[in-house]
Amino acid sequence: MTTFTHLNVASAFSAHHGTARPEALVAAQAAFGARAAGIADRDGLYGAVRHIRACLAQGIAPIVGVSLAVLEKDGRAAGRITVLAHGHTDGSGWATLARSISAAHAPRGKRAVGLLRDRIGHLLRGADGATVTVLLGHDSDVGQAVATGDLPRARVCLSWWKGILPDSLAVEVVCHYTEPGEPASLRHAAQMLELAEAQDVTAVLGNAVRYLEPDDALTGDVLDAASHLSALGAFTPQPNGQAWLKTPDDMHALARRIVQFSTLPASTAPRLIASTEHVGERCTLDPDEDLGWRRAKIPENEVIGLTGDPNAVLWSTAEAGISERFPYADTAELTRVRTRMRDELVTINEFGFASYFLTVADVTSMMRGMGIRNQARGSGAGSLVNYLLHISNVDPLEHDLLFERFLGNKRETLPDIDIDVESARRHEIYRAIFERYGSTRVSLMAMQNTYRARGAARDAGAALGLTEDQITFVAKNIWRFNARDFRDALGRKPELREFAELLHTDDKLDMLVDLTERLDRLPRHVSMHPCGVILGNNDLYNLTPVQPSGMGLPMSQFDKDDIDDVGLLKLDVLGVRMQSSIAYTVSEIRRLHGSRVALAGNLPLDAPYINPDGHLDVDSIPHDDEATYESIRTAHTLGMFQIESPGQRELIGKMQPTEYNDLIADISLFRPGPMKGNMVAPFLDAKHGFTMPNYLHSRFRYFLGDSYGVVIYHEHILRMLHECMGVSLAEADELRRSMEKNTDSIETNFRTRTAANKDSVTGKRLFTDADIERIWLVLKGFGSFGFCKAHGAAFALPTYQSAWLKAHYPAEFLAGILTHDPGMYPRRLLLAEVRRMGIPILALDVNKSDGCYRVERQAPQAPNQAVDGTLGIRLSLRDVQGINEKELQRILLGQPFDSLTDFFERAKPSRSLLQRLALVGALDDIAATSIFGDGTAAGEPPPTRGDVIARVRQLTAANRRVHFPENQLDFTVDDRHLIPRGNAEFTSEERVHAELSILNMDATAHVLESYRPLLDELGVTPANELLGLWNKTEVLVAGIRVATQTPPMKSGKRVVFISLDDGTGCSDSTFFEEAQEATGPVLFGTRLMVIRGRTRRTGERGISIEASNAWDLRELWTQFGSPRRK
Amino acid sequence: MHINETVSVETLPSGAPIRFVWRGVTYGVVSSPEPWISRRSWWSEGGVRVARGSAAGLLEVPMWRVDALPLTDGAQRMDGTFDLAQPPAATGGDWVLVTAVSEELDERLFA
Repeated sequence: MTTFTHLNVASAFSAHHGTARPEALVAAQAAFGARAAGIADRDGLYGAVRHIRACLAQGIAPIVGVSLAVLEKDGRAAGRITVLAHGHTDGSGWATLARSISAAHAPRGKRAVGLLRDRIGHLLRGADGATVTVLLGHDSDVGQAVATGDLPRARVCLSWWKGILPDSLAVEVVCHYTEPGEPASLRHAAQMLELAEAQDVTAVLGNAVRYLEPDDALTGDVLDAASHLSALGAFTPQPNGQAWLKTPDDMHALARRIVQFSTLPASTAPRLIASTEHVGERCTLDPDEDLGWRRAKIPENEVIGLTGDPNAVLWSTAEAGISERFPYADTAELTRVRTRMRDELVTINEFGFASYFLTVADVTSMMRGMGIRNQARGSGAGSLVNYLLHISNVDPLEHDLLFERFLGNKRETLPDIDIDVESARRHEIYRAIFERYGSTRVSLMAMQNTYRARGAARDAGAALGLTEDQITFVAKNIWRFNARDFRDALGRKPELREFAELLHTDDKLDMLVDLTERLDRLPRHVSMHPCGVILGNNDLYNLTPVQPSGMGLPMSQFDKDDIDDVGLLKLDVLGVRMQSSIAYTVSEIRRLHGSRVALAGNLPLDAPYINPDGHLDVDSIPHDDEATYESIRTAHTLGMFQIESPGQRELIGKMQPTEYNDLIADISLFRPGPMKGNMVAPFLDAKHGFTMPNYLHSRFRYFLGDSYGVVIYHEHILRMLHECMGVSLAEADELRRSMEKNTDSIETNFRTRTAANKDSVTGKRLFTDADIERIWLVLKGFGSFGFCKAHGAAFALPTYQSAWLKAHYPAEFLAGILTHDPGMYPRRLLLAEVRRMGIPILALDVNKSDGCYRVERQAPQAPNQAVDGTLGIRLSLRDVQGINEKELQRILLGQPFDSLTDFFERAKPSRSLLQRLALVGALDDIAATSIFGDGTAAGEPPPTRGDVIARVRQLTAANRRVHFPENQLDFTVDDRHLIPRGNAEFTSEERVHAELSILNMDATAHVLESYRPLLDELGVTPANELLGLWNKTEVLVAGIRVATQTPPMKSGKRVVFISLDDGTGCSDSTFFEEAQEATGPVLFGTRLMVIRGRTRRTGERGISIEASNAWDLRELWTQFGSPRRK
Repeated sequence: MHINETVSVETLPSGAPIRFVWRGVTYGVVSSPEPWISRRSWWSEGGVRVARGSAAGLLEVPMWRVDALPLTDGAQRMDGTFDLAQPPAATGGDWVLVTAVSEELDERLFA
């Protein structure tokens, strides 16, 4: 069997260039019988770790390189080269590769990515001999010179390279059979080979691969169009489709043909193949030696201020945490705590993970030092050590969480600890981490963004030269399906009906469908991961190439799938807006109420979680507050973390939670698996007492009590396996993991061991055959749907905290969510909730508004009186469309302003900003009053909105800016006599229109009010009256779309939920298939809707609408208006 | 110069053209024929489907570049370089003379 090693292969991680995943390319080469496989992506190692992993899996040797541009001093590109790392060099080849790539990305103005020619020697030539090989291919400077027929220049270029890398340079001979004379033509390849022979430089054969199969070449054309940002035909396309992964036989034949076409002897062909293999061997990596494959590399002990044995330090730190976390524990509880702690520490120390835990603890303690809220998420919440170290705020003993789910026996890579922080301060944390651990040990993590249906359709459409309107029409109607199933979806989805019709007559659209399918899942561009920070040791930058990120800090080219294999520590520091909202709410509460915080929140005056100075410790509030559960049960959950979506509102309405465990269950149940597995109904039935909980077996009662006997959590499954099979919890977790892949894989083992499980005293079987049958069915049915309870418990914490704050401090809380916008809904809906709760919305005012939503006391606080009813929320200047940070700061620093002129002079707003402020009424107040008192003549009304706008026009008219002399800057003027009078006042429609277009919110009245005559004529039912209707009443509802969801359904059929807000509340409509058919494109394409359907009771406080049809409200309005105008 | 006219071609066992007849004149190939592959603008061709895995043959046009001399008399004879497009192996069909380049002709045209 002939073999051939491809050294130069670009995978799909060469964005907008390659079309095949490394795994597919490696598998194909393994099938060819290749000894080794290379990868050389453009500008980086984005696909390198996957490549190595795939090679290891296929049992072939990995070769890794990169394709980089060479840049002359003036920034001119001088071709591309391929740099391959030498293997078995104790990582020095890899380090040279990584550092060269980082240098190529180093920011120097707007320069393209590439190696500066005068730095190449320094970067690529090691002190102790070469550690990389450079390939000069058809697109190198040498190749370009050959193509232009300038052989003397080609010789000079080649000599230059030979001077830099005398013993690790190769000319890469590439033949794509392009037009004779062009780079990669047969003629060109022959000349390259001749040149290498003449100059005594090694020649290798390559195919500059960018796709797996010939058919992928068309995908390549589309990617080229996306990268050129122009339509096919508007740029020079690739010359042909030869850059596929050719077989060894193809490559050998190619070598012979090139030699035949040259002036060289036939023996040159086998030599060319042999030297290719030779270079390949030199570049074969040993993942263990060269990368320390899967070996942990974390910051050195001294960096985290650790002296002495990390195990001992971890032990004493955890011990110290006991008195902080369990100040009131009795002896029995303390014994439980200590035993659990010891068990966990033994496992942690056996793995050698002590310094890892200390590192994470160090990071979280740094965050607390900065006063930033943080909260561990995920299975890490199951660890008591994490709780004692203040990494997590969830007490695993309180919720019966298992450490083994987090860290079992067999884990060899570092466990994940994810930390949620205040989103608004996330970058602050990143910078602090860089500062603390040194910039040589930290980088941000990359994220590969891949093509999804909409993006794929957009780029495919642009490549085909469709108009923007056509592209938008298609993209708008694409809704949650895989791009690769586009054609299939056309026949099934009613919203695509119109589009499917067009395909019969429009070839381009037909092609669009095929091309969209081709682009699906291809990497599109790399960006900063929203939360990943990578920590390593001092050698981090020898391991990962870095490039500048959006926020300026260096970003690794590795993504989340790479981190484990290269042994780096990934901290998921996720910015969570809800954490910012909570922090903001707490600060507003303290600012407003000071020492009266408890009183204002209707809380016990001696509540231990409230400091005398008014600071509320949200992490210490009791978890059994009845007012909180009552407020959740109303299903008015807007703003409450994770339980505000329409589907969740329905579930909450049915469940009527009464305790913290219910919240954990709610969050765990609201997922595809449990919904399909019908775990919800048995839970609800047992909770509401319609059925008795079924614990399956008496031995399960002690752990299934938290879910009324329903198997919901991984922790349940671990315990079931543990009880049945007599295995340890750690072993049980391994079994659970294998069940996730294939439930049946453990069946025999389960049955045998459970049957053999006998009471140690009586010697009787603990489980009868019938028991085993029953338990197995449950495991089989629910086993793969389980949810990690630790995860649920951690998730439920902000849910509970936000609900608690909303129940006790509604105005402050809503100001917090308006400011940080944490949820799924548009701000205007949050404002509607403010209105619904009867909290006054205070108008935007340049003198009173801040850069955030402030709670304002409307009347002075009366002595001995709670403040309820006198708090309002002032709109924020930050949400004025087009305001920039500088303008905002000038306004905030300049407050208060005496007059319009004063505002104009000192705040220096742009003309358009001033006009917008006038339109939304933010200037009404300063126009009407003055520090000189109410100067208007008796009986004279304040200026109208129209008057203010007229005055603003005067002020902003060209060359009319009034400049006061320097020495009069402090001199205040009363300019009210300059305000033109007699202009019309705004109607309420005009106000709402201005608010919607400038603030994106309807602040004074709901947008739907503008359509009132039509709604009245149609007889539309307001959302808040739905609950009073009989089941199955035929109704019409109207409103502005606030959410569209297509959650997973038990039947597997698609169901679309649409929520509309009409100012009185939200209506939730369900569209089954028939209704989707009837509705067509209106389903996803319109914002203001009218829906017809029948009411459907979903619980004590839940009602939804089963829709039969829907219309675009604005279209109805036009139809409604036109006959009238006649 | 773009020609795009069908021609009849005589080939060697390797598939390389050795003689062809264009506008009644027989040309004899005098250089080593160089194979190359050109491409089509598949996106501007009507009625074409480009589904994944079904369009391998859609992009490429195999060509031969030859220098050739007229061997017979005729109205128009030229001595130059020719690109001949090979008929698709699967469907058969005619060879097409895609371009012809002649220094003499260029001189006449652009003098």
